[in-house]
Amino acid sequence: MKRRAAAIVLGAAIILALLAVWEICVRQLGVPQFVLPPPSAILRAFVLQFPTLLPHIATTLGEIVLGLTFAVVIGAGLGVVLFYAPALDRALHPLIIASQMIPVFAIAPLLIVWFGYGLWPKVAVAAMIGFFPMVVNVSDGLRSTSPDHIDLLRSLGASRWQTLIKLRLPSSLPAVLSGLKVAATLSVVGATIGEWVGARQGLGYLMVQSHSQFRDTRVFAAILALTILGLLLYGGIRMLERRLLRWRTAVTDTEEELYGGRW
Amino acid sequence: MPCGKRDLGVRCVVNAIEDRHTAVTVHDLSKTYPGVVGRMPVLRSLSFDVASGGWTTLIGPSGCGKTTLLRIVAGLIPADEGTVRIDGASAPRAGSVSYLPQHDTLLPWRTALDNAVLAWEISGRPTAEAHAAARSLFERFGLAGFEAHYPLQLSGGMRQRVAVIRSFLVDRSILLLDEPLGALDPLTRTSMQDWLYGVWSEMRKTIVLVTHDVEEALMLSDEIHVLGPRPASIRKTIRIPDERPRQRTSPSYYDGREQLLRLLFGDLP
Repeated sequence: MKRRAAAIVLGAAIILALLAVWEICVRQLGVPQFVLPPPSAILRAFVLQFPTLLPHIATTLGEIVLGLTFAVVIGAGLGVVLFYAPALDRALHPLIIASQMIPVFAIAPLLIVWFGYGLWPKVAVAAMIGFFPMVVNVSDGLRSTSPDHIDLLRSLGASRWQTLIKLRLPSSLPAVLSGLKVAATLSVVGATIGEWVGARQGLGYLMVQSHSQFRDTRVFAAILALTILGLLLYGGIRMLERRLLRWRTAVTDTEEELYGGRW
Repeated sequence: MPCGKRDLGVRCVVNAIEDRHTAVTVHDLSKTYPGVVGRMPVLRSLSFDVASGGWTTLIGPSGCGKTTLLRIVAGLIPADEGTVRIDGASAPRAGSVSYLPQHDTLLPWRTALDNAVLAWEISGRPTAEAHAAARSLFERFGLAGFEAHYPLQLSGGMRQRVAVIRSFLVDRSILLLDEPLGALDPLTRTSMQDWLYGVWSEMRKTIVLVTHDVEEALMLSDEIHVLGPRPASIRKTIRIPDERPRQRTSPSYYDGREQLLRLLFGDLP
């Protein structure tokens, strides 16, 4: 617990130091606000304009959550299917990789043509970038099961379904959660890109609007809001990870206590 | 033990005298694996019987094909030639006997107790009942207080105890153990041999043990099949009539030890 508190204090100190350097540089060098506003101005804008930000935050959060949900369901589902159908895996593999080579910015306008200005093109962009780490991590995770464990389950008369539920999925969980962490951060970027290209609401939209009106403190206030969203999402997944992988963390904690660090 | 219809024959008469039937029959078993040049023979016309309720040990040098043999008997992989009969029924299917693999015996994300009840869970029995049964076995066999521990928090010896308890909890009369004490240090191994005997003497199952440890074989078995180097075939079978628990200092233990070592390594200096 002490170690954890120390980590929080250290983290806060680093952030504060960076902000202080930023603040001092901007003030001393006389950088105009539309080039780079000082952190104090951003924080003031964030607090004062919070009622304005709130509906945009809600919109973007909705897109992120929906996009991530699609990414996880489609990605994990595809990962499981591809694992059990190696022929399909070989056939689809180039296609899945190719889908990640397409610059999202290039097709985002098309998505707007297809789905309109509303929620769905943003969800689609977020899902499109988020599903890739899920597919890769789920199918790699399923592959990493120990052959001895498979022998054990088979010798107990387990069906394929039972082997998936009781063995393959739990043993792939560390990889799946790593994939989820990457997918979550990517879905934040995805939703914003979707809004950037064309939207009526959302933090990405607010950034474009504010930028064209030279209200750059608000651009940064929106970035701050987005950062907080991303951090909360990531933190939530970390908490989920700690719960689900207790069998691992239970040991790393004692290891840290024993050796005073990781070896 | 009464003779069933399927047992009619000479073997039945012999076994009736011993009041035992044959739990496992391995007949003329051969297996090859694809090698660098052609196929590599692993087992060559291997035959032996396992008496019901007894303790049969297969001992042989490392890499002689012992694990392959157990996996065939467990029904996990097919043999190239030959037959395996489990309680008279031919062609074992996966799930007809209890099998303890050599490495990675516990699922690391399950607590010790949840690992122990895995077999019951898979056969669809009520969890509460399984937990109660496992808990009482934990009490009796020196695992009390470790129910909620994860495998990574347990010592090697403790882990193997949990794995063995799980194997005994499986609803099968035949138990295949693949070097269950192989990864343990000599001191732990010695105490675990006595522990294993304690569990077996209470639970009474037919055991087929694979090992490369002479002491283990002599302390626990009714019958020891000595295997030669790959492709494995049986060099000799030794019966050990001594009462259990046995003494590691008795003259017959030393005789048996010398005999086994000679068979495994050729003539001793």
